[in-house]
Amino acid sequence: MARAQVSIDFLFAVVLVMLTVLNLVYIATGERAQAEEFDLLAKLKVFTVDVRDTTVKVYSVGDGFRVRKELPIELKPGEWVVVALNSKTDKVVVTAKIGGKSYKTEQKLSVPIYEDSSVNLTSGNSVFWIEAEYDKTGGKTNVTLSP
Amino acid sequence: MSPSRRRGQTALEALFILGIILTGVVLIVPPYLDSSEETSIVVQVRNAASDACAYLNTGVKMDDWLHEPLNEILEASNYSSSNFVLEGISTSQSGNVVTVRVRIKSQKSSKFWENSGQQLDSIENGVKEYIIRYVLKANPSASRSGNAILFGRKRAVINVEVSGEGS
Repeated sequence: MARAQVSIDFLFAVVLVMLTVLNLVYIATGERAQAEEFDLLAKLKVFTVDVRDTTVKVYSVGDGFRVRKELPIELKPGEWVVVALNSKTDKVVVTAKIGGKSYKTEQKLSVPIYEDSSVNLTSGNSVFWIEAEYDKTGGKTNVTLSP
Repeated sequence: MSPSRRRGQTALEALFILGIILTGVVLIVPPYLDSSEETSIVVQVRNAASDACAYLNTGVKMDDWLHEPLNEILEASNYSSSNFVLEGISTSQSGNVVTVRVRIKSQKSSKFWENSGQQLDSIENGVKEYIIRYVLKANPSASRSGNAILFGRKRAVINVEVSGEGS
């Protein structure tokens, strides 16, 4: 065979290697997208559980106690997360719109909530406070969220 | 024959060898693709089923076309972990029909699910619908007919069995 010439077997081999590599890249991108999606779900869940536990803690400590909370997710412009305390169902409800998709999750609180409150978290504004206030007339502790 | 006279010419024997290689490819590739298609169906169903379990156990609702069939189950379990575990997958093939059987177990009792308004049957249907959508999304060439997925001539039927604790 002449030197410095591309042989047909070599071309075959290159095509086969390319096919394998392309498939690997395709599989890897798919897996990565899925892993990232699941990572976001897990972060939202952990955040909701964290808010639930902190709310219980704030309620137990009582009047005047405030805790600063920060969203563990980096939001881009146009994305938002709403954290709400529902007085009817005694639940923490987190709804979010991230990357064009909507998410929602809830956690049942073991303490009563007397007042609905919610905070809207956006990019550059991802900090909020959970605070307790003693309501003298009603004789009860209100836990609320405030920006 | 000197090298200078052979340049730029395809030898007859090279064409012969190429012909033999191509015939070999034509003979070997279709059955190989056939069996690899079945394997890929099973792998995808398995991925879809374990994904469904992970989604339900995480307890965060996503409002999109793919996850919509599972959302009712998620709401019934109050967004808490239902501890769904993929117990096993088995397949059987007859002719062009591949039947995949998926077994999923929930650590919550079947009583819990009955009280929540989601019978085990409707969980089965939800998970099945999710698996079908997942496979269809991963294979743009596949199409749907009723509760089966069509891959060219092949037909994949998915059966989901969900059992609760103590049932």
